Amino acid sequence: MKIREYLLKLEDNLMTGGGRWVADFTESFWELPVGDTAFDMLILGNTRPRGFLLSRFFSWIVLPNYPVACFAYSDDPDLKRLSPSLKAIAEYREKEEMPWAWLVIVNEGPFSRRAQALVEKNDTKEIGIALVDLASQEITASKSFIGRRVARIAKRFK
Amino acid sequence: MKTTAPLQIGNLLKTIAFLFFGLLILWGLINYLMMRQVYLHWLLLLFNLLVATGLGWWFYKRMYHTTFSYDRDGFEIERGDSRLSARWRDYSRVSLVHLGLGEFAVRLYKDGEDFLQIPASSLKLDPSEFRFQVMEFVKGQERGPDLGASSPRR
Repeated sequence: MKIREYLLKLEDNLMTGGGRWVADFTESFWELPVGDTAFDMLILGNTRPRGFLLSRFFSWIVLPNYPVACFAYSDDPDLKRLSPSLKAIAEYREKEEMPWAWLVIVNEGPFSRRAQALVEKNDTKEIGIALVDLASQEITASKSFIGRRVARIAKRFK
Repeated sequence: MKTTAPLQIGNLLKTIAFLFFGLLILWGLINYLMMRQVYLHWLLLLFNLLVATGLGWWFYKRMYHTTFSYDRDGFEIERGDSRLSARWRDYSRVSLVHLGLGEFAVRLYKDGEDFLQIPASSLKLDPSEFRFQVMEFVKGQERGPDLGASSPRR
């Protein structure tokens, strides 16, 4: 599977309700510069789904209402772009008052051992990171709750 | 210029159904107020359906029917009585939006704030492919300013 094909599937899955137990993702941007870094894809959503009548009322009284995002970029097996990307995401989150975000990094080959260890050790609660190796279909995710959730969504169409 | 103007069956049927039941309620009310009873006959329902279809078609054409024409330089969108034509280079950012119930639209942002929405699904265009095509059109022209770390929607 090619990177573009994977990202299109991820986008379609998230925007048609694939992440509904976490958030309702509704708008997607491609090739988007954020700060000093560029992301292949950014999908924006909200924790309160729109719904219709009863489900809308139910979500209005029960669910929290804040924006969330799923960032994705590719071709970085050694995670050289991870640090500036995390910085850009942190700035973005702060401006948008976004409690958490996902970052999916896709590669057509294996990630370096150092990169995998770096992500596995990452326990930041605000950003869930998933490394997707399309060749071996292996997914490495950060160990926070948000990280485990993104791993579950990222592996749906491997 | 490539033009697409498909019939939006859902919107047409919605308009006809709304008018059919609206006229039926109106007829019942007038009957009750004048004669203290409601007169109903299948011929009357058929006549009501014909009137609702005629009026529904007229309302659909005035409110919902969308014609979209585009080429490399710009586009023209006509929905009901309103018409807008613009050049791709007037916009700086493109996004794909899920409107719910499987309906998608392509949004064009001007200076990261104002946006125009093209109802890709209603126009029977492949939303994802059309989005990439529009991105090429916008990119082919002068690009808008970098949005920095702020939201692409702002």
